[in-house]
Amino acid sequence: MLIWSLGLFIVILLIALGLPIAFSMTIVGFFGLTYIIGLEPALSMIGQVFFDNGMSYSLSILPLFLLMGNFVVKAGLADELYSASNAWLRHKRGGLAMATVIACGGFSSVCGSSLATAATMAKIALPSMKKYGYSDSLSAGVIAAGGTLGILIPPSMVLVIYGIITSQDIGKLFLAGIIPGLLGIIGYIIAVKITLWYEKGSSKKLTPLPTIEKVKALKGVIGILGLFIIVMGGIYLGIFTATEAAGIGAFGAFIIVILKRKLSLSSFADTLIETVKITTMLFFLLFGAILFSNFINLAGLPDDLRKFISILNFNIYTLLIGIFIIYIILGMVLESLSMMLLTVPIFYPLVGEMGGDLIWFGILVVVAVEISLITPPVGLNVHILKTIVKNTMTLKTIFKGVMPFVFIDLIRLIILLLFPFLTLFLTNSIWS
Amino acid sequence: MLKNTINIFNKILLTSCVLFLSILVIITVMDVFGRYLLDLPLPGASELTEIILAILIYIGLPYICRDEGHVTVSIISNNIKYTLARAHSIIINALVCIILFIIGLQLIAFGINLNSYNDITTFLEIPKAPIAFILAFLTLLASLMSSLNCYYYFTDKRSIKTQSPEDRMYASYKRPGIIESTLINKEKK
Repeated sequence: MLIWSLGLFIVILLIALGLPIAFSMTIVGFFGLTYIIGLEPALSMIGQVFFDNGMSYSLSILPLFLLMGNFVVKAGLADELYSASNAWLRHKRGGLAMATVIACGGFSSVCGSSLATAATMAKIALPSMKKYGYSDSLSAGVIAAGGTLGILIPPSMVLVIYGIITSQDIGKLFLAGIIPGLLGIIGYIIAVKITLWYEKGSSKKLTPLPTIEKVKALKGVIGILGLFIIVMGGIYLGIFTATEAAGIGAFGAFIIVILKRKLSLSSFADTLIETVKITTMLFFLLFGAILFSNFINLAGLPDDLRKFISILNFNIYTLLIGIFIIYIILGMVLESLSMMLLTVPIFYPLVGEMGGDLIWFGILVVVAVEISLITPPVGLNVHILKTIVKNTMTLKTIFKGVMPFVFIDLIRLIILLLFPFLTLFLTNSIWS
Repeated sequence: MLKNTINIFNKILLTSCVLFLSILVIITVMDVFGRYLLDLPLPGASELTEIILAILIYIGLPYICRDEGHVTVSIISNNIKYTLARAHSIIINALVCIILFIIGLQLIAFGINLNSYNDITTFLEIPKAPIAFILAFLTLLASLMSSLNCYYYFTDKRSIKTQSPEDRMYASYKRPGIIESTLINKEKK
């Protein structure tokens, strides 16, 4: 009990002191293991963790999907998504805000970072919302919240990492994420409506575009939509594994960028190098997390947690609610991936033992992590947005705008918690 | 002299980044198409993928260490005075340097171990020990990069990133993300 809680405390301390998260976990994992099993075995475990986990076929999914995302971003997806959804929705009440929700959902799913989505979309969507009289709080709120949508929509890096830690099928996790992800988009559109209703809507209405213009606007996104359907359809129909789908996706995205003439030799090299760097960061986080979770497991954390839970007489629902509260607290300082890597190894065996489906749990965790990125007082997405809008908006305005979205997200979390079939429906119908 | 060596290494590493990642994509695509269209899967594709992935992961390491690009929470480093921030950066880089040095040595030990019982991959029969040595070399190179950072901070050749008071109020965040990294690079230029 003392050893693992001390370990956990030191990890958090080192992270807070500014040591890279990957190495904070490595150091504590290493010293903890040395204390429990001795120096020699701990040293050889380092060699093993940092070699064997690097040479893994299924993990090649990470660089491949990252590359696909980087190519798609290069192809100018953010602008095209926004103009396409704008063309179809602009004449509706709150149309620009709803278009932003959809563009955020689409962009963040391929780009894989909610912070990056908020940053990009702020530049594209904020000016036009301002121009047409949308309130500051609504336009900022929709962008900060919209960034979180894509964590769930495949291909999702966070779900890949979850699948690796819990040894769940990544293809199944992807399929499971689709319906909750779409629910998120619908929920956010409702949140836009709610905001307009209590703000008594001051936004100007735009004239609808002729149908021919609308169809033209779709041209830019059709290739990427097709790629998404091939990748997810292939996984669903069992034509290829998630790893192979990633390879096909990266190759397809490469073709799209070439066809759009958005790629020079030097930007091609830059994209690949950038992908390799992000891959390195992710894998060293993963190695650190593996070493650290080896330590806390040997130190008896799972047993202690089990005892603790039986004393408190927790069932699966109270356990999950407890876990969600922990995420909301952690979301104040950590971004999604580090949060998952630190906590999932601790929680997933418990949930599994209590009869919770681990694919369902994965989706719930990701939704909870998303919410934590926009909850006051320190949701990271909101702060990123604040650094972009500088002094034109106060932090209070953005948080005020985000609140309806947090509220809708909480409802989504409860729905997903109460009705597991919403998550598992697609997974269970998979062809194999 | 040191600069020239670093430049040569830089070119070799960047070229291998591009090359290996391209090969990784091509292998996967050829494997899938070969299997479905020609009924001829690429032999040993998964083993090649594994080896390339391992090398890819470690090629990026010297760069990440040079640019101090690991995922970090910087609550403290944003709120301290310049001299203290310099000391802070020296300590962090020194720690990273030591950890990577230990990991590098362990990878060498692991490679020697693999070599002692001639461990090879099952299908293509590629010896595993040289791979471990390559990974060890790249890790030690990364460790060297971190120690150079220490030296640069110590001699004040690299200055702490200056931030506006607005940014400093909040925990700024470095995260793997395409957009942020390009933004940061632009700002540096």
